[in-house]
Amino acid sequence: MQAHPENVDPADGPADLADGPADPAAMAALVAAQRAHVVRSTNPDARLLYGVWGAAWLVGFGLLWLADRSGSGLTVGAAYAGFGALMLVGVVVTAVHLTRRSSGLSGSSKAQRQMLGWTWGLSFSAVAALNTSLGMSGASDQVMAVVTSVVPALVVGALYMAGGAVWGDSMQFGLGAWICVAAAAGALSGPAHVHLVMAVAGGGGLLIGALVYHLRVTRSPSRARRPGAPS
Amino acid sequence: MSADLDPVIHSQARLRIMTTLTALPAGDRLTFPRLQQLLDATAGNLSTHLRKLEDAGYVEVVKSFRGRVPSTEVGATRDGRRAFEDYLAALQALLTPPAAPAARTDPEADRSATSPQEER
Repeated sequence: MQAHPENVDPADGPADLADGPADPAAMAALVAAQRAHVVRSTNPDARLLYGVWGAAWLVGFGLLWLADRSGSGLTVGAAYAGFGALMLVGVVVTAVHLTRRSSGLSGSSKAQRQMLGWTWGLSFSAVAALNTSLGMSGASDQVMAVVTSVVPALVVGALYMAGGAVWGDSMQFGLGAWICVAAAAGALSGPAHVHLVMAVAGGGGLLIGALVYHLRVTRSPSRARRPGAPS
Repeated sequence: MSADLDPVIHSQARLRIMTTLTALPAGDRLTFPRLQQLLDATAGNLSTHLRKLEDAGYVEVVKSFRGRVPSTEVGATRDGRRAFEDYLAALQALLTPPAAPAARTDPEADRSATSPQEER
């Protein structure tokens, strides 16, 4: 698939580009359509990312909450295994999606995306280290339940807010603020209810975010944020 | 009618190439295969059009090696971005009828007269 111009026979490949000028209206339509296609193909799809993580949180924290309740028949070990598997699915889907959308890009965008990748990777490695350390130093199940739920959510909320501020994306900022509030509510509600709060407010909030992005996209299909966009 | 339109850009193929490259932030480039994929074009045909744009100074084609694998990257130059903006403005002018004399109440003309030209 990765062909190079020097050693590719001009006859193979999809098709020759339509050439020659068309009338001005058709040319303007061509610009709008191609710009929307490029923006769509090279930028991450917020609906997919929020949707996957919203579902993973809703089900994952839901499993932990079920395991907390005696009589549910779900063991804590099984619930954590399910939770871990869902988080792993989220990480893999995110990594594959972002890699595909960034493929072939170089320059400032690529550097920016790589730094963002490191931001998430390193901060979550630190969260994992904190959880491991607390577990090894004999923290109670109650403390572990609160810390392992609230700290990752806090990191997600803070990074969304910062990202929203930097990109000028008020939706992302608002979602981050909501996740921070959910994390605070989860912490204050204590070990008995923290998993339920994170499932419903955290996971539910992300799913609503995905839905709002979806409605935005379907209502204005060519939301290109590039300068010089024809009106 | 199209006397003011830059002939280098005024072809469907090259207009799509310039649209693709200028949709990226300034300074960004695309690898040749990715550009080809975004345009759904053949390599030979794309090369031909890129050469015309490169000759005009609108795009730069950078060849390098990633390890031992040759890599070709394409990006819009500053002149290319300016030429593309000018082209869009000229196109917009052709699509916008000249200001209507006095008491004309064509809603179509009203709408286009008040439409924003450029976002920045």
